[in-house]
Amino acid sequence: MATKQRPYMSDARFALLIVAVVLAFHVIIIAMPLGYSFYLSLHETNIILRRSDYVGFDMWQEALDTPEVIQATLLSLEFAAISVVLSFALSLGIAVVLDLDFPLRGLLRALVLMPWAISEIVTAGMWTMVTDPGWGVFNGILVPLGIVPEGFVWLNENWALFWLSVAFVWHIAPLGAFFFLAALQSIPDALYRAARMDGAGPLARFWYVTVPHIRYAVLIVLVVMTVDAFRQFDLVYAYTAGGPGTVTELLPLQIYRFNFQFSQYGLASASSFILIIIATVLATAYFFLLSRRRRVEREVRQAAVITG
Amino acid sequence: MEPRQRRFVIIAAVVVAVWTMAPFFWLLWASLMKNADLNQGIVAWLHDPTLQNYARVFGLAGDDEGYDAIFGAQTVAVGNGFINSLVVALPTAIIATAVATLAGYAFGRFDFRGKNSFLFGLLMSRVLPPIAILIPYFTLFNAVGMIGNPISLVITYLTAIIPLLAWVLMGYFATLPLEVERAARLDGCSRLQVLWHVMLPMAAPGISAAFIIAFLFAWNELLFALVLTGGSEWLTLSPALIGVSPIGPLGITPMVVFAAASTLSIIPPVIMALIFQRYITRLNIVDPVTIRGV
Amino acid sequence: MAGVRLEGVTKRFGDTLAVDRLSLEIRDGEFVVLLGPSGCGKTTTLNMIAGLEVPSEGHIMLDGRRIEGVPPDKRDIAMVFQSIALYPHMTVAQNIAFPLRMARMARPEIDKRVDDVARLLHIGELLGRHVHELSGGQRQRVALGRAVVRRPAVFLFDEPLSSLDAKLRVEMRIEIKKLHERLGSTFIYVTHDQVEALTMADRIAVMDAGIVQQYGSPDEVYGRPSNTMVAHFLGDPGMNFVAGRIAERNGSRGFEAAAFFLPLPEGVIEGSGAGAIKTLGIRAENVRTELGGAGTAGVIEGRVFATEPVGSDLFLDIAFGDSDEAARRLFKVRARPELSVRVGDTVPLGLPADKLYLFDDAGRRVYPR
Ligand SMILES: Nc1ncnc2c1ncn2[C@@H]1O[C@H](COP(=O)(O)OP(=O)(O)O)[C@@H](O)[C@H]1O
Ligand SMILES: [Mg+2]
Repeated sequence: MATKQRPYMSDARFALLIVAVVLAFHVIIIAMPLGYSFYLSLHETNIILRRSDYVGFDMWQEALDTPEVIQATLLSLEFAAISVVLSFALSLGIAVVLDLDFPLRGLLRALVLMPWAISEIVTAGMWTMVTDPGWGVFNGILVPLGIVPEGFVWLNENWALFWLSVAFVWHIAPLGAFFFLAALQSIPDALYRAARMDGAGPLARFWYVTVPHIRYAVLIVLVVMTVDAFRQFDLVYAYTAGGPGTVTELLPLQIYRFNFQFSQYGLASASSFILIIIATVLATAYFFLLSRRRRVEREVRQAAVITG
Repeated sequence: MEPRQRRFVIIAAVVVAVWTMAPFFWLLWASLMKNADLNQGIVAWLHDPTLQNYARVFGLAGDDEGYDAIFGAQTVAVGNGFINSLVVALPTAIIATAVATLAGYAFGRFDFRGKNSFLFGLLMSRVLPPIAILIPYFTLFNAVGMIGNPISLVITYLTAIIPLLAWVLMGYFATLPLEVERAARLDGCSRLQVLWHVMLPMAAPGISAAFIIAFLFAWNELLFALVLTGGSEWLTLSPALIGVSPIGPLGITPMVVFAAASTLSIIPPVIMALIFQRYITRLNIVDPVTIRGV
Repeated sequence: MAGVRLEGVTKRFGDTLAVDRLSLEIRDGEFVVLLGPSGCGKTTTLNMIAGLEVPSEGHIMLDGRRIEGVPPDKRDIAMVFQSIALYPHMTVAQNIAFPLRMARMARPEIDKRVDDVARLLHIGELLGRHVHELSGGQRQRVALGRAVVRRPAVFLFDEPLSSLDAKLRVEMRIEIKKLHERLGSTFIYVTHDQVEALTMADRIAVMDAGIVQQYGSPDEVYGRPSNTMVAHFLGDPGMNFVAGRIAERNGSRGFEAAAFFLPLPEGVIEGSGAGAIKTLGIRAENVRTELGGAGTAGVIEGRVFATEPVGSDLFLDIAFGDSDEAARRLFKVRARPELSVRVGDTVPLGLPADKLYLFDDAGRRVYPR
């Protein structure tokens, strides 16, 4: 019997080694703070007495009993819904246009990404220039035309959330547009030609050739947009600051106020777990859908091996 | 293409261009106005364009109209913010790209037990709301006296951005040809040499894109910066811009100065967007979980 | 210089059994071809020899020493991949020089070796180019160069010509064969193309479903296939088979199929264990269509279902019986191009006994013994 030789490090072990290093790093920078946040959410801090008492899930209960928290949660949901619908339509529209053939297409493709690259604060500033009731672009054009009255307030109680959404969508849609564009470009031209030979009109071609190819891009755009809408703080803070009144005070902004303006640390941490739970649900759905796709891929690949 | 169809396509392209570019135009327009003129309305001909607002950002304008007495400190903070943001964004982008490259390589290339759990963890930390991470970080950094220290900002930025980059790079590595990597093994490379000599050069477009994403994030981010550097000498660009905006602590600021400062602040992102645009369609973000050829 | 030995090598991927207890002895300096249909485990076998996959069971020996514990970069084995796998970010010269750089060879020595290899493979003028500027054939030469430059003990080739067009493939085939003669190293070459195998190999290992079906010289595997799989896989077209059994008619024993009865010499039947015989085989080129004098074996009749003239030859697709069902299992015959037949004609076919093969119910050859 030959001496037993240990095989050299397998691929899997090598990968695990790398992942372990990354994960260790990750645990330190994410899991620990989150754990600490959980700890905070179980305590009530009295800033004057400089003491912190364990109160169990009282703070969670209080978060759920606070009407402002419930209202902010609902607003966040509403904001996400409006934004996702708008940004989905817009990014698909932009992608379809960028996929067409027109002069200076390369230039436009380059420029379209710019809104995504700049900060939310500057985005907010730009849209302030557009919607300011005193000197903004909208009123500068529409008041002389007699369409809106002098000093019309665009960010009014009813429409502030919508315009916040518009600014957000302007900022975020280019990313979705590029996801869609990549998917559109991956469709072989021959498929369109074949469909045309089979007598398919533009709508039929879109439905039977384009849509199946961009299905997963659709999924990813939806999820990315939803997640980003729920996370959004910067734009809200810089554009409407939650106003007028509290009609745009979304959950992240409110948690910020609880923690950094009103020093209600326990309540802030507890409320932030509402956000974390929403995020977890989203991530789980996302992951489930993507891994289902992976199974399909694998089957297709095996079929290819067998047939080819 | 028929002329009618062609006209339709061009109109659509113009609509996209206007939608994208108009806000940039008005920002630039306002930055060249005098504040008194802007207050009359932004939609007006620039009779008297001025670079005064830009000069103010660099502290080069004279103290006319008592400007500096009221707004000077805020405006100077914007100038410093450029430097501070660079000091924060570069290390963030470098470290995050390095770590995410390793993770992306491992996830994109190999199958191993527990991989799905790791992936799920990665995704979870991508969707976590920043505010949820910030509160404990603030408390911790406060306890150790690291508020106002750029290192604390870099650490939180890494937290936020590494998962996304790993996700993106995983998709990129998964599309690279497996046999090239194997060829390198047979050509005498150890595993780490394969990564260094072959995989990294091949993944260069993906890695550059990841670097840009990280840099933009750190350059633009407001919430963490506001909380962790607010009021300190390390105030970064974004909170500094808030300082000269109408919602800043003073409540009023000449909007024209904000416009000029904003215009300057978006120069690096805009350049990066133009570079990034070449890479993004090759990133395979659309299909990041598909692990090909393992 | 080294021989390679595989002992009971098995590889599983989850539930898939890619390679099943494979044992193979490859002598030093030999040119061995692993031949088999797609998915039969050829690449996996090469990868295990190279060290890119770890066998689930069994041992691999290089020059008499077990190498399971040796990583691929230390095995002194070079491989040319199916996808060619050049480094896209390097020039041709850098690609070829890369293995030497990794071996920390001195710069002047590297340059000299790269030049030698470039001359050997006629790619001298390409050295400064980038990979994406090369044609398919040029890339293949560069990939060869990158393997040759190290002067490894063993060369592995994984269907290196499958991405080339037919003409280039013939050219490269000769080139690789010459390379082997010149270097004298051990070559292990994987292909699913039986022509490549027959023209290049010293010995061919025919694989199917992860198992070596037969291992022998090209003459052996072609002339004495050990079973129906090998008989069908080698040759173009593959061997014809007719199902049936040994029976007696009019006092003589012979092979009884649905459509015909073929008397066989007693010696053929006796030596083969008559009861087990289930399949008769004959190659297209051995069926006689111009029947002058009395043949040694019987003559059967078939209907011409289709004709395929290929210039030098005329292939006839023969159907036995009238039904379309029968027509599906075609029987190919190679005739001379002058033969005048039309679709639908009934033709006499001579099946010489010395060219016949008989297989048992498991597909094993029982005649000739
Ligand atoms: N990494 C892998 N994971 C799962 N199955 C694999 C893998 N590699 C090969 N196989 C399977 O093993 C079998 C043999 O594959 P392979 O060695 O590539 O065949 P060949 O090279 O002869 O075409 C096939 O069924 C294939 O699907
Ligand atoms: Mg293969």
